[in-house]
Amino acid sequence: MVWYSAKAGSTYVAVGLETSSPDLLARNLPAVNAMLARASLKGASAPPAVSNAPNGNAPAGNASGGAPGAVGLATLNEYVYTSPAGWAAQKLSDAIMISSPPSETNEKCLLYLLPMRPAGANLLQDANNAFRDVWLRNFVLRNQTPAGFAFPESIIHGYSGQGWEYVIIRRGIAQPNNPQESRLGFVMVAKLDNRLAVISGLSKDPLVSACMGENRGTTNWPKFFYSLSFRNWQPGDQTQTMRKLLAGEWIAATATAGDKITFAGNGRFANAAAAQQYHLTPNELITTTQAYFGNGNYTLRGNAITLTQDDNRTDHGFFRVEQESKDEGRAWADVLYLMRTSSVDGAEYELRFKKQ
Amino acid sequence: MTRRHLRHGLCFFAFFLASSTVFPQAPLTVGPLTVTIPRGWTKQEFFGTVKYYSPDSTPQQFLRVQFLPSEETPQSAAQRHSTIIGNLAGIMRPGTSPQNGVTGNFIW
Repeated sequence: MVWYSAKAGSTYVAVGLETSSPDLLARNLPAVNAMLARASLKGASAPPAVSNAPNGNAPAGNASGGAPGAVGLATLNEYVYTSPAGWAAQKLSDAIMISSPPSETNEKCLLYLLPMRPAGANLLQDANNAFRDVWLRNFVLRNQTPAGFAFPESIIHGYSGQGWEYVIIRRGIAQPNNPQESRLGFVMVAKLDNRLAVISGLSKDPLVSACMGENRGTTNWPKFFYSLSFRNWQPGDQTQTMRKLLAGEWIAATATAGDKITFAGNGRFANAAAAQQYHLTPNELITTTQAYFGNGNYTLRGNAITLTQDDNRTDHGFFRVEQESKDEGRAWADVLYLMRTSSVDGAEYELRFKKQ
Repeated sequence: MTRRHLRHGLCFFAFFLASSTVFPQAPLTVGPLTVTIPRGWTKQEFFGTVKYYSPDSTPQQFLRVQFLPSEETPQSAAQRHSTIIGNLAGIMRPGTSPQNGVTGNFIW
């Protein structure tokens, strides 16, 4: 089912789409979306007078109906995502804003999906430009948290299982007249051929954040990231590319013997105990297809990974492999994030691994 | 080609012409909303709710779009949307997760 909602003045309008067949949905959804995109809504034609989006950007170009290659406001229709549970999505005049409910500490995290813009020749430069356009018109850089610690600023580079390359820039920012109340602002740019999807966000320091708390297990970013896709983008089969990125020995940041996992380019993996039987170089893990037996198979589909041990125990999850720099791009470290569901309490948890 | 083949071919051509010259339907207005239904969709009305079935719907499988009567509410579209999605959560297939997006003036 797809549920569409809009509001014209105080009048709420809803359209429901129901189907008994995924095939019928695939065939007819574009026509339904086109019909609703062209619909007129009396009293709602003018966009909201004030935008809450941080960028205040003018549209990057003429809206052209979300066709492949389009940039500008109409491309907001191309973002497909799953809002974190309890968060509300709202269309602003120049962005889609997804906001968390206020936490007990009165924190509100925000995500903004912004109009697509033309891509330049250098994705890192594109990300820096986007960060400047989104945040530095109304905020200033501030590298200290309100508690006086250094913000975990970083630059992240990766490839989604959907096939698009991305760069994320995270920096501390604050309003010029209130520098003590600093926040972590970020921008992600995703390269969709010759254009960029731009997503920005704002939270407290990840050490204490209730909605983007990386070390507290409260971050909503991974699930949002894994849910993200774009209309008009054909993912293709990324299995070989992602296998190469995964190949190697990874050890969790909270290192115990059990938190080590080795992936080989031939679709085999080994946990800590099994990996001790092999002494392969990282290059062999990528290129040697027969030497590595491990103790299970892994299969990839987009961002999803299925680990099947040789005794048929199966584990489903999501993964991403990123390169992270904490010194403005001078040194980079490979990082693997693996999100799985606990077989004990059903909770989802994500482990961060570093490449050995 | 035999005369019989030619006759069948002409019949098929005439049928194809007839079925492809269906005109777009008149705009549908529900409260403040006005849409143009794609051609070939079949209308069904039931106690103020208007439903349209896709041209490829059959008695066995269907795809329908329903336009609900508009309502006055102090809630924002996002709040009302969340409430309704919450009410619909019970009919979601286990293991699936909802997706969101924006189409024109609509959030989904």
